[in-house]
Formats: sequence, structure tokens, C-alpha cells
Amino acid sequence: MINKKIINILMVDDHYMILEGYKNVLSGLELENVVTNFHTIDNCDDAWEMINTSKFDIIFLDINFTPKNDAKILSGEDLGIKIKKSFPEVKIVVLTTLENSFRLQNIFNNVEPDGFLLKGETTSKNLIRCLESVIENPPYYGPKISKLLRSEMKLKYTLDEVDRIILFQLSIGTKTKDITDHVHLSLRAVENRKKKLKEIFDVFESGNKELLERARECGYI
Amino acid sequence: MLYLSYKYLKYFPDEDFKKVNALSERLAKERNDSLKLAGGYWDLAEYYHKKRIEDSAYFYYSSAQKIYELKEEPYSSARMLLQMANVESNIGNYTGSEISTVKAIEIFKELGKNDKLYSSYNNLGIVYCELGEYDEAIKNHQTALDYINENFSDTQYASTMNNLGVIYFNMKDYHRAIEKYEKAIDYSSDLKNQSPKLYAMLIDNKAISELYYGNNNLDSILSGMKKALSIRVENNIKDGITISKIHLGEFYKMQKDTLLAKEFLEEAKDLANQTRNIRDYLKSILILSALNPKDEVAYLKRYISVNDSMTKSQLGVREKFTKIRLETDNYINVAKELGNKMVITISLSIVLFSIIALSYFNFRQKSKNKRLELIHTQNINKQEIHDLTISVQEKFLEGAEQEKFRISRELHDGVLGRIFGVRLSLDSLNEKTTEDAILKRQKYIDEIQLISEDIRILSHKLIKKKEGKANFESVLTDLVTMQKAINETTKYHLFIEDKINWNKIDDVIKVNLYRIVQEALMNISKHAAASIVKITISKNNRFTTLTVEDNGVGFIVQNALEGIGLNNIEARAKEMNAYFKILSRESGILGTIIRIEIKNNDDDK
Repeated sequence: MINKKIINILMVDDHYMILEGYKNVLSGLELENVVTNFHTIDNCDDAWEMINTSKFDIIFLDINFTPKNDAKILSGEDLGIKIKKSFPEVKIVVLTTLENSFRLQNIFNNVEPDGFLLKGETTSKNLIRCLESVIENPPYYGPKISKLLRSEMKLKYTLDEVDRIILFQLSIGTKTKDITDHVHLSLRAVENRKKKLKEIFDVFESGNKELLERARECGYI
Repeated sequence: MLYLSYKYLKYFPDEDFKKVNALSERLAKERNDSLKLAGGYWDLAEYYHKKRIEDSAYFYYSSAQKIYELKEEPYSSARMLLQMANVESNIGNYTGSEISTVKAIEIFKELGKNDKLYSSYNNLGIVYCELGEYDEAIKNHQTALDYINENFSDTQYASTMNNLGVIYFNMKDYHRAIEKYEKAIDYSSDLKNQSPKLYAMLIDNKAISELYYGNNNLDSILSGMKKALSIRVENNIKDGITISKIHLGEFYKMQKDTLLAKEFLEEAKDLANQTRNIRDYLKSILILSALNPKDEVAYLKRYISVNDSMTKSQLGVREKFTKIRLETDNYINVAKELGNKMVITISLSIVLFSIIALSYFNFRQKSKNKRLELIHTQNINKQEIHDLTISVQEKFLEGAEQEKFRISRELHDGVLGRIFGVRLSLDSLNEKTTEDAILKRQKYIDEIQLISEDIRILSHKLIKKKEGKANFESVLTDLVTMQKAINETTKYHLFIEDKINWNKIDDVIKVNLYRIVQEALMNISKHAAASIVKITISKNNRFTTLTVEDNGVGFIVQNALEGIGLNNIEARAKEMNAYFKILSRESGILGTIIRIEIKNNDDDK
């Protein structure tokens, strides 16, 4: 018997139907010397715990999760960043329904995924192809992502985790002065961040409404 | 008839006269002859005057006077005034007498009745003398001299001199007093015949003055006194006899002949008592007390009691006189006063009207202010309920917005995600024809049906949420929801009866209800430690009722009513005119029940 390579794959998505779809598709993968083990989990916090206790080679990540107030890790993006930082050898495949190019660019910059697909354009064929590529010759980007990256659009600024926390807290109605409870920043620093965010989103109105609207359009909240 | 009564008066001054006079008075009245009536009064007055019943005399004089004045008979009127002055002087009401005299003088002067002016000034002189204003008295007597009537010049001159003598005697200027008396006596040799009364008086007065002056010619003094007494006795001048006896008593007292002095003075005393001559009665007692050291105290006591009662009776009489005068004055001034009254009434009416008008305007202004205040309060209440509604409306909008995003996310992430999952699965099963694959395909087709059901629900939600409208109920609901968020361990139930038309209910009531619920919920969350809170607003024919019940620890209402929270609730209940009841431990129940009953307006039954 030839020693087959065991590849442990964790799939993180909050919809069981998607997870089932992944399994259905990817179980049809036929690669020489490769055995795949699929694990699924429906939230980021538990995923992060699993990643820390078991060794995974590839992680399929959704970006948007149904918001939960007690969630520590708010989105796949944050989880991706954490994995990248703590386990740089783990390959990350981002699968998202998001289509806002600004947001996608941000995810690309922050997570530097090995595979990047938009759910809308994903078929069983290119999902398998993506997995094959990630295992043997990464990266693999879906057609729309490739096109986006080729557009040479350069980001002036990449929203980091703190920015996303600020936006999230604002979106659930937290007052600016209380945001300091959620980020390790002074009120002044939070105000500066908000100012910068407004610049990024081309928001000129005072107050949070316009900013949140733009952030929503870009899929941040 | 009047003539008859006059004759009676002259010759039979007794009860018969009164009868005749009463008859004439009745006749006069029947004939409506007021002048005759006045004449009757005059006669009656003279009758009483003679009898020394001075108050009755005064009454009839003044009654006659007012008739004369009304009938424009100034001369008679003035004569009555002068008589009144005499009466007043006699009873010691010198001030009243002065006034009457002055009035009389005015009229007499106008009419040029000089003889009456003499009497008037003479009276004034006497009055001032009695009042102790001797200079004024002397002046008036000298004026009187100017008006001496030629026909009566002897007596009048003598009389004035006598009066002047009395003044100087009172001033203890005995020398001048004697001088005046001598002048009077020497003025006319006929005086003795013309007026024996005055003549006796002059001799007597001269004698006593000489005695006091310290004349050593005692025989001449005594003879003068005795001569006066004999004349007086001869003419039955009782007051004169009394005075003579007093003077003789004084004479003998000075000569230390106590026995004789006492004899004369006792006689004088008895006579004075007989004739109701209090002045001389007192005088005799006073001297007697000095003569009887043993009985001095008794005499003095007698003196004092008589003097007191005299003073009292004088006061009483004076009051009576004042009353009579007032009545008379009123009568006189009826017409004048009527005119005055018109003026006064009109001015009073104007003042009164102004006051009423002012107070009315003031009242109007006040009630206007009150109304404005009320409107203001109503506006504030309206504003408050409006603000509450708006804030809830905003929350609704915000909620609607959030709901919109929630649905969009649900569609985007959920529905799309699930379709993506189904599509992927079906995609992978597409080329397979195994039994297993066919079963699996059926599963995903069923899943698509479920997804479409979800889409249907979502779209339904989108439509339904649009109806969200803020009203009083939603404001209350919002309040309770907020409380729920703070107090997660407590269950809140809010029941608002559907049939209540909140639009018809006054804003004041709504605001107060809201605040009461707020206050009650705060109290419950602070103190009650309740697990269930039930807020109910119900309505029947008569009342709209709010109850806030909890199953907490409760409290003793009496002790807690001081608390600000409950006070606020009570005050608000009062503001709405609502019945307020709070039940807790002492009512033997678990927890607390607050009950507010608001009487329904008639128009929103």
C-alpha cells in the first residue's frame, strides 16, 4: 500500500445545507495519495477552539455569520486573520456570498487566502478544482475574484479588526463613548478611527447613519 | 286753641295745660297745620322748662325748631335755638349750648333782631364763663351790651353787669366783681321794681364778693345778704333763697358762728333738694362738711355720690340731647342730604361700579391667565406624549430599518447560502443515477421547497412591518420592553384592552398613566424582588382602570407613603381626579397592587 497523505479539512459555515453541499461535492475528489477528512462547525468561536486543539491542513471559511452578541470572533475574516497569525502553515479557502469589491479587497489583504471563491459563481466543478489547486498548487481564485485582483485597484487603506469592531458596535447601537469598552482604545482614538472610516467610505455627513449605511453596502455589517 | 293753651300755660301751669295742649296738638295734626303744631310744641317746651324737666323741654323746643326751619320761619327757628341753648346751659351741656347759640346768632343777625342778639351773646358769655374761658366770656358780655334793647335797657345792662361780676368773682378778682355789681345797682333806681329777682341777686352777689374780698364792714355785708333774702322770700324765688342761705351760712362760718352757719346751710340744703337744685345742694353739703369735722366723712361721701349721680345724669341728658339734636339735624338736612345723598350715592355707585368692573376684569384676566396656563399645561402634556410617541416612532423606524437589514441579510446569507448548498449538492449528484443519488436528489428538492417557504415568510414580514405605527400602546409596550431588558429575571406582562380608544383620551391622562407605570416599574425593580409583574389597563362603562401587580416582597403601605415614588403616583392620580388605591402586606396579599381608576368622560363611553 502506498502511504496516502491524510488531509484534514475544517469547514466553517453557519448553514448546515452548505456544509452538506461541500461534503457532497468534495467527497467526489479523486486525488492520488490523498485521503481527505471533513469536519464541519457552524461558528467562529468553536472553530477557533478546534483549530487550536486539532491539526487542520485546510480550512474553508465563510465570512458572514449570523451575529451573536456573545460571539468573540465576529466574522470569518477575523478568524482567518487569527489563523494566519497563529498557524501560518494552514491553508485558508474563503467562500463568501459577499460581492462588494472593497470588502473583498480588504479580506484579500487581511487573510491572504489560498483559495478565494464567491459562492454565487461556485459550481461543484470549480469547487473541486479549487481544493485540488490549494492542495497541490495554490492559490486558486474564482473567476470574479481573479478579475477583481487584475483590475489593479489599490486600496488606500485596509480596515483592520478594530475598525470592524467599531463598525459592528455602532451598527448594534452602541454609543461611541461606550465603544471603548470593546476595543483597547481611548475615546479620542475611537473618534479618530471613525473619522478615518468616514474618509474611506467617502462619507461627509456627521453622525453614524451614513457611515453605517456605506459599511453595510460594503458588507462589513 | 293754641291761644287757649298759651293762656293755660300762663295762668295754670299744671296738668290741665298738658291736656289742652295735647288737644291742640291733635287738632293741629288733623288739620295738617304744622305751624300750629310747632306752636304747641313750643308751649309744651316752655311748660317743661319751667318744671325743670329739661330733656322734655329740649325735645319740644327742638321739635318746634325743625318745623319752623322747614316752614321757613327763621326768626321762630332761631328763638327755639336760643331756648335750646338755655336748656343746654342749664343741664351743663355748655358746648352744645354754645353751638345752638352761635346758630341762633347767625339767624338773628341776618334778620336784624338786636334784642335777641343781646340774649344770645349774654348766653354765650354765661356758657364761656362756665367753661372757664373768662376772657371769651367777658368779650361776649361786652358784645351783648351793644345790642341792649332800649325798652329793657335797665335790666339787660344790670344783668350783663351781674354776669361780668360773676366772672370776676370766679376769677377771684373780687374788687372788680364788686365794681360791676355796684354799677348794675347804681344804673337804675327802678331796677328794684323792674326785676326784684335780679336786684336781689346783685345785692347778694355784691355782699358775698365783699365778704371774700375781706371787707371789714360786716354789718353792711350781712344787711345786704339779709335784704336779698327778704326780697327773694317776698317774690318766692326759691333758687335765690337757697343761694342767700348758703351765702349767709358762709358768712357765719367765717364769723365762726358754727351753729347759725349750720342752721342756714341745712335749710339751704333741704331747699335745694326740694327744688332739685343739685348745684346748690352740693355746695351746701361741701360747706357743711367743713363745719362738722365729726361728720365730715359722711358729708363728703354724700357729696361724692350725689356729684357722681349728677355727672352721670348730666352725661345721660347730654347724650339724649345729642340724640335729639341729631334727629333734628337729620330732619332739617333731609332735603339737603337728599341732594348730598344723590351725589354720594352717585359717587359711591361710580366707585362701586369701578371696583366691580376692576375686580371683574381682574377676575377675567386671572381666569384668562388660568386658562392660558391650563392650555400651556395641556400643550406641555401634548408635547410630552408627542415626544414619547415620536421617540417610540423613531425606535420603530430604527427597528424597521434593522428589520430590513435583518431580512436582507437573511435573504443574502441564509436563503442564498442554502440555495448555494442545495445547488452544490445537486450539482454533485447530477451525473449519478444510483438509487442512493435519486433519494438524495429528492431530499434537496424538498429543501428547495422549504427555502421557498422561508422566502414567502420573509416577504410577508417585510409587508407586515410597514404597519408599525407608534401610539400610546406602543409607547407603553416600549416602556415595558425596556424594563424587561434591565430586569431580565422578572417576567413582565402588559395587557391593554383593545376597545380603549386612546385618541379620545386626554393627553394629561396618558402622560400621567405612562409616568405612573414608569414609577411603579421602577419601584418594583428597586424594592419588590418580584418574578412576575402584570400591568393591566382595562375599561368598563364608568372607569378606565390601571393596575400594576407584582408578586414581590410587598411593604407596609402606611410606612411607605412618605416615599417619593408613591407620593408621585398619588399626586398624578390626584391630577387626573382618579381614585388611587395601593394594596400590599396589610391587606394580606402577596406582593403589591396599585390601582388607579379614572372616571370616563361622558363623550367617550
